[in-house]
Amino acid sequence: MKNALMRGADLIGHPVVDLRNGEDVAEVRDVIFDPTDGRLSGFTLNKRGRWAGRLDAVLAITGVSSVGSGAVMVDGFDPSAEPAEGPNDVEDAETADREVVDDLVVTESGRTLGTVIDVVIVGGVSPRVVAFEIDGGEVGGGFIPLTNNRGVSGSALVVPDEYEGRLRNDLTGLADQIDELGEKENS
Amino acid sequence: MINVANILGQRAISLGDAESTGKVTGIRFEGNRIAFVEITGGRLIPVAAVKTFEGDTLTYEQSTSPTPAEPARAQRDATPEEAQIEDADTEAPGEPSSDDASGDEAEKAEKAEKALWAGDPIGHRLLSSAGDALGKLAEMHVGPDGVVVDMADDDGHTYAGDRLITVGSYAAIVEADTSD
Repeated sequence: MKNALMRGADLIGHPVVDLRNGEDVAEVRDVIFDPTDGRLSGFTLNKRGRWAGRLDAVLAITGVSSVGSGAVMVDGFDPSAEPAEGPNDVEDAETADREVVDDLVVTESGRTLGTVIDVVIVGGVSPRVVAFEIDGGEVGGGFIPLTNNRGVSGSALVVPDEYEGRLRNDLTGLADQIDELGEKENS
Repeated sequence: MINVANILGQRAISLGDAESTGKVTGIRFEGNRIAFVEITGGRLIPVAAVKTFEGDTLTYEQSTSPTPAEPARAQRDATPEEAQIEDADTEAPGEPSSDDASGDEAEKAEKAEKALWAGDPIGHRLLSSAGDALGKLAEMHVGPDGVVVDMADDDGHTYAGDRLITVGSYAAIVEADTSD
C-alpha cells in the first residue's frame, strides 16, 4: 500500500497513539522539519482531552513508529518525560527559523508562482515533507514538489523554472509526479 | 466461536455459590486475547477463572474473582501508568492542594482509568499499526479460550485475530498489512 499524502494542517490535532496500549497519549501541535530536504525532526505536542494544553515534551522522529491517516503511532512514548530527553536536533529545529508558510515561491527567472500555504507530508515509517502547497500567484494554486537543489530562506523559496509546469492541483497528480522525480533521482 | 457482542450483557454467575453477580459490562484485552471480563460494579474476572465464552451465561470460579479494589493492584507490575496510579493512591491526606495540584490529580486519575481500560470493543475506532484509520470495529469473534479469531470493520473488511495488537481507550490496533 502506498503511504498517504497529507497536508501539514491535517496533521495538527492528529492523535499520538501508543502501540502498546491503544491509548492516545498526546496530539500533534506542530510539525518540525528541515525545509531544505523535507526531513521531519519531530512534532511538538498538546495534551489530549479535558486537560488540554501544551506539552513541554517534543516527540522526536526517532520515537515515531509511523505516521498514518488516523494517527501518529509511537511505541512506549512518555509525554510526561522531561523535554531535555529529546534529541538536540529537534529542539534546534524548533527554535530555528524554519517557518516556510507565507514564503514567496519564485522561479530562478524571477517569476512569482505564489506563496506557501501548507506543506505536504508523505506518511509511513519514514515520514517526510515532499511538497509545498502554494496559492496567490498568477499561475493559480496547487502543489509543487520539493527536491534537494533549491534555495530556501525565511522569506522565499526559489525553484527551477520548469517547476512552473510541474504545478499540480490535486494530490493524486502530485503523488505521480513525486514518484517520477524519485525514479529520476535514483537512476 | 462467539461474537464478543454476545458476551457483553451476559449474566455472570459464580460457580462456587451459584450466585448471580451481575452482568458483563466490558472486556479487557492483552494482545489478541481477552485477559479480563468486567462485570457490574467494575469487578474484573480474570480469563483463567472463566469456564468458557461459548455459553449464554458467563460462569466463573469464584475463588479467583477479585474484589472491586483488587484488579488494579493485580495488574500493577511496574508500568509507568501503574506507577502513576500508585502515586495518586499514596498521596498524604490533608496536604494543601492548589488548582494545579487538583488538575494533576484529575489528570492522573484520567490516565489511570485509561491504563486500565476495559469496555465494549465493538464500535471502537480501528487503526493499523501504521496509523491509518480503518473505520470502526464492527465484529469480533473469540474462541472458547478468549483468543480473538477474527474481526471485521464497518466496511466489512475482515482481519485475522492474530493481527490484533491491543484494544485501548482510544483505539483497537491491528498489524498493518500491505493488502489493506
